Formats: sequence, structure tokens, C-alpha cells
Amino acid sequence: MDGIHDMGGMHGFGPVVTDDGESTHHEPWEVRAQVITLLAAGLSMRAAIEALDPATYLSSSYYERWLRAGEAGFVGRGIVSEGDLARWRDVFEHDALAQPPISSSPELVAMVAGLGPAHFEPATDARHSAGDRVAVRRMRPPIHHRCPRYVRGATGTVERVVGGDIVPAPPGSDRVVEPIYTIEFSASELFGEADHEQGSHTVLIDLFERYLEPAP
Amino acid sequence: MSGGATAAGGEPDQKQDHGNDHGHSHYDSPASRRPRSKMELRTMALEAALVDNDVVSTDAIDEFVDYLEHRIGPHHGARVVAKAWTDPAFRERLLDDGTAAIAELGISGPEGNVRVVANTPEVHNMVVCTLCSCYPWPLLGLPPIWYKSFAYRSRAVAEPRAVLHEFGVDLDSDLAIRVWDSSAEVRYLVLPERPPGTDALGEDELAALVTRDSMIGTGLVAVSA
Repeated sequence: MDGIHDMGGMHGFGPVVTDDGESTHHEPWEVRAQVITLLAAGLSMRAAIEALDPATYLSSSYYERWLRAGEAGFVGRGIVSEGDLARWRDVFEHDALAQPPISSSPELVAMVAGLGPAHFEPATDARHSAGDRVAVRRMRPPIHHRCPRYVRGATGTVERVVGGDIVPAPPGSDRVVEPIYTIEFSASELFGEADHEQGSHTVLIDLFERYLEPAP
Repeated sequence: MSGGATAAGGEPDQKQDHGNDHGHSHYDSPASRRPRSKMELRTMALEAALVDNDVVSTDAIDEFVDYLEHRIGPHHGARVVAKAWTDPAFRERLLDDGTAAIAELGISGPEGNVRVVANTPEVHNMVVCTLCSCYPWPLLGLPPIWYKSFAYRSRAVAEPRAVLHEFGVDLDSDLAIRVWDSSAEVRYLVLPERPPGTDALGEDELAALVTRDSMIGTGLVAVSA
């Protein structure tokens, strides 16, 4: 879906460098919230985070978005109930010494310890090759995808065929493997001639084959 | 870093808070007498409900948190960079297949399918995830707050030189900039240029010069880092 998370090229968010400096987060609960939701979601939270309503997305901190998306997603899938969450919140709000229950699962610990890098399948059936000119399709997919708006309609060059991977889709969808390509675009193709940047740049982005078509 | 750049919009993540409290308890301890924040209470409630329903286990959460907070970080990436600077054959393997080359050094893990892109006198590389926060965890640890900020995500692809200027990096206008937007499962690491005058330094001394920002592409490696 084309949500507020798709921020490439937008204006209005101010300067990047702030007093936060080197920090990765502010409070101990934050990384824990990310881990809890990752584990409970089977390591896939992107679609749920992108489904937050835009106003909530913009007014929530990074880890708050994980937490809110986790709550909404798990209640939606019946893994926990609103009642469960409300009851536990009440416990912790009124008892400063209360902590969540403790459990152990050697299998789940082993799963975490065994997590490795993503692997790509060979892209033997790739339609495009390095050096080909391709255009990004105009589209408005209503489901989870990984094709930002700022590249749509633009023409670029295949820099590399990355490999085959599962096409991003909502949980429960069929598993479809498709080639991914790194496509290089000139800044002027994406954003027009810039008057404020001294010097040019290119943008390289990894796109699934279904987002592409041969250049006109 | 300049401390004067206060966000006009006041993003929710940007706080004037230097207390980066990596406490040893899972949540703020009652002894700190600090009232639990609303979000902390909600996180505790979510954990409690999920543990209670047998969806997740405390030890698996602890294991993953410990991995992310304590066992990975930019020192891994710095080791890889220093080795690439001193071992041309490794450098070649690293640029050819980053995932396999870092595994030679025992570095691997989730978010670790890595492509390493090298800075040269002609090209400067810079990495962003416009859609969220993709980042090479095994090499750099968790991303800094600014990397996940709306400002960086929105501007890096459109005006990288203006963003670099805010990091105190001003590149020649004839230097080509390549901005890598990590949108699939490849995670990018920048191999910065080895600074001049470092011929006498060994791998460990070189690694100590390599900053996290230089491996994201928002910094350069300086001798007096």
C-alpha cells in the first residue's frame, strides 16, 4: 500500500543531525518492544507498521510504531485480546514492582540463535540483464509492496541482477519468487534538475521484476 | 556533530535527552523511582500477554535483546574495513560477495546479506532506507536514531549533499555520489577510503579510526578521528 512510510523525496522534516548523536534508542523498553513483536509476528512486521494510520505513524517514535503495530496485529489475528492487554496494563500501572511473567522455550532460543542472513535463489529466468534500460511501472498497489513512489515512471539502468526472492505480500499469501534487480537512476530523472545541489548524484534501489517494464 | 540543529518539526524520536539508559533490568527499575512511561507500560503488557499465551518466551526475548544490544555493533564493521584496507585479496572477495567475505571473519546473522560498496577518489557512496530502517545489523548493530528519522529517510535520496553538509561533510562537486536505498533484503555497507599517512598502522589501529557514519556514508575516515 502507498502509505506515509514511503518518504523518499518528501519535504518538511527538517535537519537530520540532532542532539541524539550516536544513540540508537532512548529507553530500555524500546528494543524489547521491537524484539517481542518480531518474535510474535514470525519476523515480519513491515506490513503491520505500514498499516498504521498516517497521523499515528507520524506522531509515534520508531519503537512506538513497532509496539502499536504489534498490538494491533496480534489483536487482529487473535493471538492476544484487547482484554488481555488492558488487564496487564492495569497490573503494571498500579504495582510498581510487578514484572511480566517469566517463561522458557529452548526451541525459541535456538531459533533466535540460529537466525542468519537472507538467501537469494538463482534468478535464472530474469527478463532483464545488467546494462538494460528499464522503466518503473506506474501503479498504486493496495497491498504491502517495496516499490517507493519516487521511482515510479522513471527510467534507469540495471546495475546488477541480485537474485530471486519472495515477493513481499500480506501474511498468508502464496509464496512467489521473482528476480530482484538493482536499478540506478540519475537524480534528474527522479527529481528534475536540482537548483540547490552543487553536483549530481544517482540513486540505486533494489526492485522486484513485477515493478519494472522495458524502457519505452 | 553540530548540536545546534534542532528539528523544526520536532520528530517524535528527537529528544533533548542524553540519558541513553542501557539499564540492566528489562524495564525501568522501581528503584529508579522514575514513573513508567505509557509506552513502557504497554510494552510490558504486550510481553506479559504474549508470554502468558505461550506465543513468545522470556528467554528467547532476552537472547535476542542481548544479541542486538551487546553482541553486534560498528566494531565488527570496522574490523572488516581495516582488513579490506590491508589485504587486497580480501578486499576483492568482500566487494564480490560481502556475505561470504564477512563470514570468513565469523560475522553473520539476521539482516546480514551484505553488499559492500567502495568509495574511490571518484565516487562516494551513502546508504538509506526510505521505507523504514533496513541496516546491516551484524556489521553495524542497531541503527542510530537519525538513520530512522523522517528527515534522513526523506532527504537522503533527493539532496544527499545537503544532508552530508549537516554531518560536516562537504564533497567536491565533481565527485559522483551514489545513494543506495535498501528496499529489498540486501543490506549495504560503505567501504570508506583509507586515509593517507596510515601506512605504518596495523589492522587494529586502523579499525580504531573507522567510524560508524563512515560505513553508512555520512562520514569520512580521518586520521585524528
